[in-house]
Amino acid sequence: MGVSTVERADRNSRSRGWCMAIGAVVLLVLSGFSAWGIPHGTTDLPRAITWLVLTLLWLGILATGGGLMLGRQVRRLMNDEVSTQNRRRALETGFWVAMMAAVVLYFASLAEPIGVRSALAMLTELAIATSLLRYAWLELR
Amino acid sequence: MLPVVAVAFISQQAAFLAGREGEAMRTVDQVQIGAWLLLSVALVLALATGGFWFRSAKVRALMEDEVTRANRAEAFRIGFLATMAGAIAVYVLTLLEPVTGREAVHLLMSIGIAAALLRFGVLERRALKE
Amino acid sequence: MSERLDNRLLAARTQRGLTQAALAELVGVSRKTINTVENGVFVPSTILALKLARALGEPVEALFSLPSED
Repeated sequence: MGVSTVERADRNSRSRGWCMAIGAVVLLVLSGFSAWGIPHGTTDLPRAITWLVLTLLWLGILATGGGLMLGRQVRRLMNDEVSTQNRRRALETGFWVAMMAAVVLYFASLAEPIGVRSALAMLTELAIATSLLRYAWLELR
Repeated sequence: MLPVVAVAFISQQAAFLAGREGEAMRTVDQVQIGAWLLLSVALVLALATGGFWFRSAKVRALMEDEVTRANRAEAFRIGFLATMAGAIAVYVLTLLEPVTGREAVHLLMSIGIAAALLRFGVLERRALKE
Repeated sequence: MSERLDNRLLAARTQRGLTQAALAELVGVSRKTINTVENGVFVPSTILALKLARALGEPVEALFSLPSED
């Protein structure tokens, strides 16, 4: 017996939630590297590309709900009213974290200079990670 | 009013960021930074709570209806996306021109807050039009 | 001003022998949406409320109501 569209959407929603949670953890680890381990160097191209790819990927998913390869019906169900509201709440959390991270980084840079790319990476990684975590939490609960 | 405030906020940041290239921080710069920070916090709090803190609770409750809450959520969404887009743009810009971490962070905060304010203002104005 | 909405969606659905997934299929939403509306976690839009009422063959006022102001 085939799986109904609702069931497929259900499963994919849960998978999406778990992917986001894992993605968030990865971003937080990367942010930790920027803060306490290896700062983003001016000639560190692989790191820059990694950051750009991850940022664009997760931002794309946060902005659209992802699942572009899953077919219109399944996507519509995965991104229905509840999911859209959850995504909005997640982005709001991301906004607040971005602003708070900016304030902290600003004052931290007064005590010790922070490289611009490290600052940008830390801010975006933290904001996107918390957004993903919030979205995952709301979707999976 | 908020779109006007947003434009004034952006203009102030433009003037601030245009003129400092690696100069040592003077007292007037510190005052300017403090003022920017206070203004930023005040604007974000106004956006988050609806502002008008000195009006009665009844009036504030009426101003905080479903439409306004939906508009605010949309404003924060735009603010977040604008901040992230700004971060990507500044990251690329650093390949062409030296930018300090502090300047980048200042710029991103300004972009995020201004974008959120502008979006909120536009949506609220649109909602009031007959 | 109360933002809660009372609903008897669960009762209406089970009366008709529908699972959450089946009702979701009829209405065109995810099962999660049906679940969160039933639990009162999510307040449906007017459109969704009307679609649910139509799918269950009941007037929307029979499914959703404002809490009494006691």
